[in-house]
Amino acid sequence: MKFFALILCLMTFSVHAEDAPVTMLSVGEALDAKDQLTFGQPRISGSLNAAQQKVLEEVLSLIQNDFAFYKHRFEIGTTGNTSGYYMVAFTVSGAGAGVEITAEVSKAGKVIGKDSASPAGTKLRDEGHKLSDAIYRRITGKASIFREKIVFVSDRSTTGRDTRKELYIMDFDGRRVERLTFFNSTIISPAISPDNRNIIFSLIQSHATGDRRGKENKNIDLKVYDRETRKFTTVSGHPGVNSGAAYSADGKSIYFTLTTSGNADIYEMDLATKKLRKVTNHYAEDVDPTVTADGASMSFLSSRAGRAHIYIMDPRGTEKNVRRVSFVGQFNASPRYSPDGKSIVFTSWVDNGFDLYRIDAQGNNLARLTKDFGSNEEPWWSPDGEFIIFTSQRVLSRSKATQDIYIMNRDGEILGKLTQDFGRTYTPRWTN
Amino acid sequence: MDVLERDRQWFSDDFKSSFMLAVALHIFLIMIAFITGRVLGVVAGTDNSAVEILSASVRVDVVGMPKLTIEELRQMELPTESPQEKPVQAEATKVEEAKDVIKEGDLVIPDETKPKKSLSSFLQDYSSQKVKTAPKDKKGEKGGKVTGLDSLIIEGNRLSKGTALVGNNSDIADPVYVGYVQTIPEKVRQNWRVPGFLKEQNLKCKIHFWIGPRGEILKASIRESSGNSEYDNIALEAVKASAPFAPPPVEAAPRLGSRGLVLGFPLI
Repeated sequence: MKFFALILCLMTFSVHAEDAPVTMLSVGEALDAKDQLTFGQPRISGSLNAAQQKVLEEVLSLIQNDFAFYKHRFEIGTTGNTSGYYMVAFTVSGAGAGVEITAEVSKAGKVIGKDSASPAGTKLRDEGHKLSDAIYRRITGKASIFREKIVFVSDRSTTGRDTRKELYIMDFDGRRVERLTFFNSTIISPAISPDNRNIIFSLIQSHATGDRRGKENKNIDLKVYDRETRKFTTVSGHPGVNSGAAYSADGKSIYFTLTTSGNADIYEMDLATKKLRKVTNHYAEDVDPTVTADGASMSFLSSRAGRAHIYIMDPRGTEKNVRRVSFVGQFNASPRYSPDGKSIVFTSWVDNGFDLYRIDAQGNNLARLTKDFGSNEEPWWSPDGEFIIFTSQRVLSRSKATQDIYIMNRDGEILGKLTQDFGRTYTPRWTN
Repeated sequence: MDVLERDRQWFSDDFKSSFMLAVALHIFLIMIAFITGRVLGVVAGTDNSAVEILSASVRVDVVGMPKLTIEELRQMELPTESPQEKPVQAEATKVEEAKDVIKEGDLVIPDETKPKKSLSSFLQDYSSQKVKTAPKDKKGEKGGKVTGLDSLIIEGNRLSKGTALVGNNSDIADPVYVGYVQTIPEKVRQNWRVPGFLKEQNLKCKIHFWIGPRGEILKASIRESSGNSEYDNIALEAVKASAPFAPPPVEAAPRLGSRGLVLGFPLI
């Protein structure tokens, strides 16, 4: 009996020890800790002449400017401060009209890599961005945007009343703009092939109808520009609209809008065989496709719900797994899949202008990116998914407005303007 | 007959004693297992049987486009008194922006005049607001009556304190305890900064810590590791850096000291 009493006693004791449960709570999303990055003063071996000194200064400021774009990732220290977690030490020697520069990257005092470049003359900016990119790769293990270019359309060559919108290309930081086309016509919605060699775009073209009075038909044709041979070829010239082309990830086919059937639908075209396949098949209009890197999902704009909304589907079939992503917004446009396929950026009409929004591909986490910043359209993701470029319009008077290209990070922090006094600009696109 | 009777007697005695022994042994073994289980459970901190999960239920109905940008939401979540980290370095970055690309006039300067509020007070404001129809709202805004945070609030994502969709505070009896405990994650989050490369890995860990009567931390340990020691340590340090907390109310103090709290980084 005593034994039993003891057992009972112990049991009740252990029950009492349980008194209250442990409370669990969630902390929520972490704040960002930035990587500390310090650029050291360059160590110069030998001596530099005035021209070489100038090249060096230009390259160093270019590198600092490049990294300023990633200010959401890095906290950049001043020169001479060696306490940085990442440290970049430059060694420089004169080489002809330019310099030979080596950047040694160390993490917490341990050297993790060395890269060199020889900027000079016309190669100065190319070599500078190449070195920046190499440093960025050492630190993050990923490619940067420093060597990318941006293709866009501008109306700056317009004379008189005929609007001319031609194709231009520039560095990612807005420098070294180059004109690519001289059609004296209007170019819309360009896209760059995954290997960066070809630019596909739509062109409003006049076709002779054979009419005796010389009457012409206007048609929107799809054309390709080869950046190496500098030649143009027509890819699709079906009567009506051939536009909004997006390359598939392997670059072998394109997805674009055709109106031959009397209704805008998205088709896939094999670039080698020119064979067409219907991807959407709906009496409503379907336009503006972008495809994820794995080719398993396509975003597009459709009016099947009555007004323009964003949809995703499996582009390998026809009308396969169509899912609506956006349910709100008066007028949504330009949906663009992020490179990782997780989110979609788009523009939506609010109050008196367009603003940019971001949404998960599943339709969750709708977030606003721009506000009180003119009318913002035509977003496009940088290939690393960290930035979005877009056009922003400022109305100056009833007949005058500016429209420039801006860059912001993926959370809507605007970093600056990339074009200035370059006519009205449209449809900026990154190289890949 | 006699032999049989004796046998039966013998059998009965033997059975009785061995049965008693077996019962006693079983009870003893069960008890040992129970006690060691409890002791080990407390020591290792992995006893999941006695855990309650605390989370406020918030319902978000998307009825329009959001009016607040991500930047604005972030500014609201950060309280005004949070220390500005390394202002010297921040200035240095500004200087480095090349003049040829980024023009000062183009940068959006956050409106400092807007009052910064914590998310919880934002929610309270929300729940106390009456639902109006969109067009009427717009006229009210133009009238200039609405100021500060109110003007930012939308007919868009309408937040309200939910009743019982996901949150499960209803069965927790002690409102004083719950009220105190809910202030803890907000405080810890301010000290929790994770570098980009770790954030991208979607790691998860849990920290168990015990709070003393003056709000100090008695003990803190990793209850569930993320598998990445750097990530675990950042979370552990974030908890330690947040101490001392406000002194817990007398009713809540014993429980916080004996049972402790578990925080999930980022979720439980």
